[in-house]
Amino acid sequence: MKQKLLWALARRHVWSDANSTVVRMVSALSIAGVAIGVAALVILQAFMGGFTEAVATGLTAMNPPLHIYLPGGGHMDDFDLGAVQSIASEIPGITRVEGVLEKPAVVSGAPGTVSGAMVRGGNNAGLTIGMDLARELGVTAGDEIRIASTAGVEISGMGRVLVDTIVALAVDSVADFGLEEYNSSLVILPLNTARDIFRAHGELTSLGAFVEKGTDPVEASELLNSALYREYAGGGWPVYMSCIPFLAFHGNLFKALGLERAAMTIVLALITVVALLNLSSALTMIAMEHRRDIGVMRAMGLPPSGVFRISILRGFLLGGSGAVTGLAFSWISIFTINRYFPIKLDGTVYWIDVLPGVFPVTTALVVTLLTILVCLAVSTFPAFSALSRSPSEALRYE
Amino acid sequence: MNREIVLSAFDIHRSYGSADASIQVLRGADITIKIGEVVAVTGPSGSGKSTLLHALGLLERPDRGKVLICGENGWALSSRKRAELRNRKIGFVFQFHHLLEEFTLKENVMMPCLIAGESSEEASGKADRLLERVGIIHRASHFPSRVSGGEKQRAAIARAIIMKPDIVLADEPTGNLDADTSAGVEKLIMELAEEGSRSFLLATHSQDLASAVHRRFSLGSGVLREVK
Repeated sequence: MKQKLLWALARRHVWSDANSTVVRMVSALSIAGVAIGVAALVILQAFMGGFTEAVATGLTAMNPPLHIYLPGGGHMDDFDLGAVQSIASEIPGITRVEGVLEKPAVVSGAPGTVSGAMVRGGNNAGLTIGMDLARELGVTAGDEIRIASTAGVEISGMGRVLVDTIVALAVDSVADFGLEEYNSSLVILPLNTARDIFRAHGELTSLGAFVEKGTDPVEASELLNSALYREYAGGGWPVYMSCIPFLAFHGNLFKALGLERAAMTIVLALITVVALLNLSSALTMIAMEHRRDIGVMRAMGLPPSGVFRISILRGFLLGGSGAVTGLAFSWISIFTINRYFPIKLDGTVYWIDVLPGVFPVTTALVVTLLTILVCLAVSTFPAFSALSRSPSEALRYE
Repeated sequence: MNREIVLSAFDIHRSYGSADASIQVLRGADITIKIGEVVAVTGPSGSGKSTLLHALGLLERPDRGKVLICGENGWALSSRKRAELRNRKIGFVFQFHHLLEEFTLKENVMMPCLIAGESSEEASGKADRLLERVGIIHRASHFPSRVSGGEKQRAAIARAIIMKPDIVLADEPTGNLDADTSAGVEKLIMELAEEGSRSFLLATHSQDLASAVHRRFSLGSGVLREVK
């Protein structure tokens, strides 16, 4: 007996012009149910994952993946930078360590404009400001902005003396930093310029270490922490610097996003389970509708294994069609939404302006395969039920 | 083993229901059919004709007794071997044709060959010849719901003989047809039996058909008797 024959039988049992309208409707509804369940799961993962990824990318694009700081607070200096550079040079995966001086300041651009900003001095060639801040200040590349530092206040014998710390600088570029938070407040400039503005020569607020592509920042930070420990504790010194992956600063956000994603996945997985229960009853109905046909086939010599396989193939066809349709539908939906109907977000609340859908290839394949496997499992019930009847019983069924 | 005998059954018993309310449908039926013989079993509705045919055709296991198909003890075989035996040696014609509604008449006729593992081309050639023989080649690509009762039964007969079985078991083959169509189908059965030296066992109400056969049995109160 050829597999092709069993496929033809199963296919026409679930879908044929000669089938009753009821059978075709039941088949169509169960395919649609499974498709909707699979598509809902994949689309959810696409947008939840897309949001998390966009925020993480935005954060890591503007910050070194590893952050080295003083746990008790306080400032670092060039000596600390040199020490960490020397220790990190022996850790595989870490490419370089830079010093950062980051402090709040007041900036103004076009007459009458003023805004609070975060001025970051680092390894930057010129002065770059976030696009929203540029818009607020009414400046573009080439225009001048003035930065006033609140740190330029000194106490002398005469009392509080305002030190002239207003520095006028030309904007070299206006950038989209990816996150609303950075776009609306960040000013990046060379480290020495920042030190001039804040009158903080030799001072650093933190160190940032960069890693090679493919290196896990969590692993690299653990290695750097143990190296710092060996270096200082081994020499009898207190270990005063610590390293954490930058995204750990936002650990709570990512945990909350993960929890929300898990909860929504459970709800949508339940929808898929309901669809599979519907499919199970559809398979039972189709099996009843074709009970006599199976009896006839057995009279013609179809062995019990053939009866079993036809039932399983019916489940595979309905479930497989549903899962693949759902997969295709989810891909098309994600593409269409991204391309033609982007979901706008309030950047001041969500950090990003547009919710990106990223097709989750692995998740989509796992969901599809799992759905098909469950379909095969639910089709074993009508399969065993068909086997338990003698051909004569099946033939007498009306 | 007598090579002339295609089917023999001994002491076939079959009852339905529970131990306290059981109905004895067959009480020790014996029958032997030789090559080329056309045998009829008559009896009132509910007398057990279908049960007898199902037991002899290896579709329903009797409570007791033995069925030999071309010398092979059918009920002693595994279910897979028994299915193979049904495919190669036995053809079935049912009262309500029992064609598969989702397949055309030709595909229905091809089905036993496909189950046996023959190629579609081979099965298609055989089906065409048989459809031509039973006079419905013009209906080959029609679905059962689109043809008449007589045409359906002719297709069912073609399906039953496509594997050149040693015996065809026909359960009321004309029971659902009008008089004219019945006559045509009865004539076809007798011709096919003669042409292929094929044995037929017919369960029938039709006096015309019963009178045309080589031997005749009657079934009543569970007892099968040859009518001399």
